Amino acid sequence: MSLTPTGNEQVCLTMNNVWFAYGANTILEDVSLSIRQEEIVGIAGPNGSGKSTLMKIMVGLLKPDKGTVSFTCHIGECEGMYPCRPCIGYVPQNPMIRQERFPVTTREIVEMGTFGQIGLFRRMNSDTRKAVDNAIAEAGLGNVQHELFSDLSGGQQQRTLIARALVGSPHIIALDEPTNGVDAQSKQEFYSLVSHLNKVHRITVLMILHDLPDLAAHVERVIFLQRKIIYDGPSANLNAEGLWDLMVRAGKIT
Amino acid sequence: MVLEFLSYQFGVRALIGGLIVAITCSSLGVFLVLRRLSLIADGLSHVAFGGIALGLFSGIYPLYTAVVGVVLGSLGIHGLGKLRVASDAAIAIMFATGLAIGIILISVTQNVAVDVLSFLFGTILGINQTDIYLAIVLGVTVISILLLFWKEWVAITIDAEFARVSGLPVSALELVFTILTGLTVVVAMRLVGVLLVSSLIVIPASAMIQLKMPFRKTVLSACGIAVVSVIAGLQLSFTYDIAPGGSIVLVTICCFILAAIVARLLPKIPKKSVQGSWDHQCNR
Repeated sequence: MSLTPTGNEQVCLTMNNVWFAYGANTILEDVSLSIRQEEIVGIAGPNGSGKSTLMKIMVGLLKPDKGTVSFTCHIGECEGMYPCRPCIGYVPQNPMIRQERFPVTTREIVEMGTFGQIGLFRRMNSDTRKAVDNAIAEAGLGNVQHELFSDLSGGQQQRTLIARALVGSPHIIALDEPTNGVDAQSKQEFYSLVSHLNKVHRITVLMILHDLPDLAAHVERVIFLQRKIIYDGPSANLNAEGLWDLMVRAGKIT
Repeated sequence: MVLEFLSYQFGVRALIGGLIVAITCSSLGVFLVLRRLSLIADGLSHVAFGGIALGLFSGIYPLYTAVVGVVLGSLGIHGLGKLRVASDAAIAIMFATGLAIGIILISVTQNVAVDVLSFLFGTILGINQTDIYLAIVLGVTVISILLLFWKEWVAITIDAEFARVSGLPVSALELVFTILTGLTVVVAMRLVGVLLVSSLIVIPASAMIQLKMPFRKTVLSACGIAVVSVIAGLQLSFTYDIAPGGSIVLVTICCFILAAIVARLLPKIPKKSVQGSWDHQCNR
């Protein structure tokens, strides 16, 4: 996998005039946006505003009814691919494994991050095992790797899911409400990790966030959604645009 | 005498069939229970009943028509899912369809009451050489495909959404898994009967899931207690001249209760607070 030199302003993901509906219920209406490399982007909006749908379209879980989504990965083998699986790592909001007694260990979950790249009929080899070992060690999960995922704390669970998303070395990571059910200390550790991934390893970060102070403190750019994009700009301007009041009135944001 | 039923030819056939049933049902069961699809086995067993009735009506060997029935039923459940019918509703629709077809065909077929009862409640004496050959073929097929796609089934069970994002063909694999479940139901229904076949899929898996072991150990231990239950159930069936389906399932229930007690007695693992650093290497 080789990268051509890129600058900070290089676009890595583009959505043009995307529409999506569940039956007669329109969820996304003419959404167009560009994500630049190495940005930290927060997606915000009231419940039902289409945030998760937007993210699911980005990662390829849903196909838009109209419009286009394209990746510009600058990697030879996946140019023009949608969804660009090698380039995007996904951390879903509330996987079923969180339920008590789900018999799966931390390591088994991280291993799962390699399965798509290994392909059908093939087993993990020494390289993929090493990648899993590294991801576990680097996430600080070495001493709980054989523990059941459901026995971990909320912060450790979140780290495990991020390790799973990152084990394939993606360029973009998409996180759906990553701080839900996480205590204050784990939340700070999570944002430190996000910052580290972004600043040191140049990973573009997209995350759906509900928490207003978090948006202001940890995100450079906010896309505010209410079926269509009603704000797309620096998080510092949210207040000036009157969006804080709007979000608080919606009762969905603290 | 322990395992005295093995001194009879029919007892040996029942044991061979029972062991295949135990291993296939319990290993698939862990995946189904964790995905909250336990009812799919119940639905497909009633679809298989429709297939059995078609066999009795047409004079074709009933288990062959049952195989055709469960494959069609699996396609039906999958197709209804594609039409955005909820999975439990899709299962219920195919359940009702299979049962309705079965009832109609049996009502117009003469002198099949004994055969129908043996399929509904299971039998030791009724298991013939053809049943055993079919069980071996289907059992080996199911276990082989299960092992061939092991990592994919695990991935879909852990998190189907992530598996789809990773590029795994989740929809096709789900269809294959449903068909495997249907074939397992056909293998099992001769021994434990249509009415109890889903129990053998659900109960050993549910028992072992309580013990909070890693995935592979959970599957292996579910197979273990299913094998023990089948052997003990067959012995009880032979000794007391009762339907094997009932005795086998009651033994699995005892195992479930035992596992529940053990799970409650296990010390609670305290939540660990781990301070670790992140140093992800991206090679870029």
